[in-house]
Amino acid sequence: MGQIMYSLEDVKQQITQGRRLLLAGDEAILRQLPPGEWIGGTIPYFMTAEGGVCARDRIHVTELPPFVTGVDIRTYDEESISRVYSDTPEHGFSVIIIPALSQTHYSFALNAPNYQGFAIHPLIGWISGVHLNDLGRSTAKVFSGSGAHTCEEGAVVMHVALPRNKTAEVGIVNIFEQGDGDNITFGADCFSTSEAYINGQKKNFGEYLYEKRLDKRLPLVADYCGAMINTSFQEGEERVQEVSFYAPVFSGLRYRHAKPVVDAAERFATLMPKDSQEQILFSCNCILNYLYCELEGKQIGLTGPATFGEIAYQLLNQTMVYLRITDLSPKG
Amino acid sequence: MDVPPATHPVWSDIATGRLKPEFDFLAAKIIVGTISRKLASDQSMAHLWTYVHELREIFVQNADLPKVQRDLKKIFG
Repeated sequence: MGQIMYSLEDVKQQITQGRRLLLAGDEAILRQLPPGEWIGGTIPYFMTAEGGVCARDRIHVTELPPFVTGVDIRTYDEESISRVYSDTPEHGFSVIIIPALSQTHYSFALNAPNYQGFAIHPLIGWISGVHLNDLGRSTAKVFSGSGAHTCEEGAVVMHVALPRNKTAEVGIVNIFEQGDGDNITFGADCFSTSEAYINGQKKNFGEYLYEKRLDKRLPLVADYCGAMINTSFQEGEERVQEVSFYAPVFSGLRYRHAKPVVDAAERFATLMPKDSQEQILFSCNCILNYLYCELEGKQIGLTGPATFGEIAYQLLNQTMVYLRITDLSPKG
Repeated sequence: MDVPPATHPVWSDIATGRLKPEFDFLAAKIIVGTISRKLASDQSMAHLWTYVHELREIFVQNADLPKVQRDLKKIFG
């Protein structure tokens, strides 16, 4: 079940052959694809078998295996996205792509844990983006091959049905863990805030970060019953009053600033799932890991787009996510 | 193993954090973390019952997965 980089002509051929594809690439190249059973999102950064690369002339392709029993491609807006979990097949999984900064992105990020059927079936995906040189000049987009529909304000989802003898499972690789510093909590669910509670004491969060000289390339980390879930800072080292994030912080969670990671590539390699590559259908990693961990040219094991946000049931930051397909043992 | 009914007290013990199993299954970790967050702002029994059903349903719907089987054995023996 390989993920690989292909030329435009190769991908056109695969689509016309009726293959079912999950695609990632630059907007200009995705726009040239014919209709078919595919979904895609814009991004020109990738982790490949040769290491991290930026490429506008190739498309990252994940082909669904032939044993898939059916696919259903749908688009959702900021309201209808609440049905994404309940639309997933009883026995299967769903792949979602949402454009960065869209209303659907914000709506899903804040509300997904309240949607009906949250986390009952596997949902994996990513937030599409743009080349960093095009920030502010170009917008992230998603594509639905059914009708070659392009969208910058909604999500595209491929719901995938599996045979009874196969099962899908979502996993994450997070190189960060909670540090030993202050407990940080927030009074509301939000993408930006000026206030936080530091060990229970209300403070201006921007001033706190500046005074403590906390490295904002390291995320805030919350412990979800043993799963470390990151929220990344948007700003750099500058002093700000209002602090913005790439995913929401939630009230009721206790965050800590992450411990520094000495050798990120080595840490990724250590934490990678030990499955054969055949079992991992899809994976993607965060553009912030690509940038801050200097992954360009470095191999870390799994391949896939380097994205503006990762989805493993809910929106994550600075995390690698993957979908594994395995055979079920026959019931005796 | 079969998934015990929602009335089994272990489900509410997990939802309220009285019992803190080390799950292998990612969805179980995320739903328990989410329930813990929600209960921090509203601990009403009606909500707790809803969350217990949501938690159990994740195990029911994924009961074929070896990780889920291991987690069930871990919490119910």
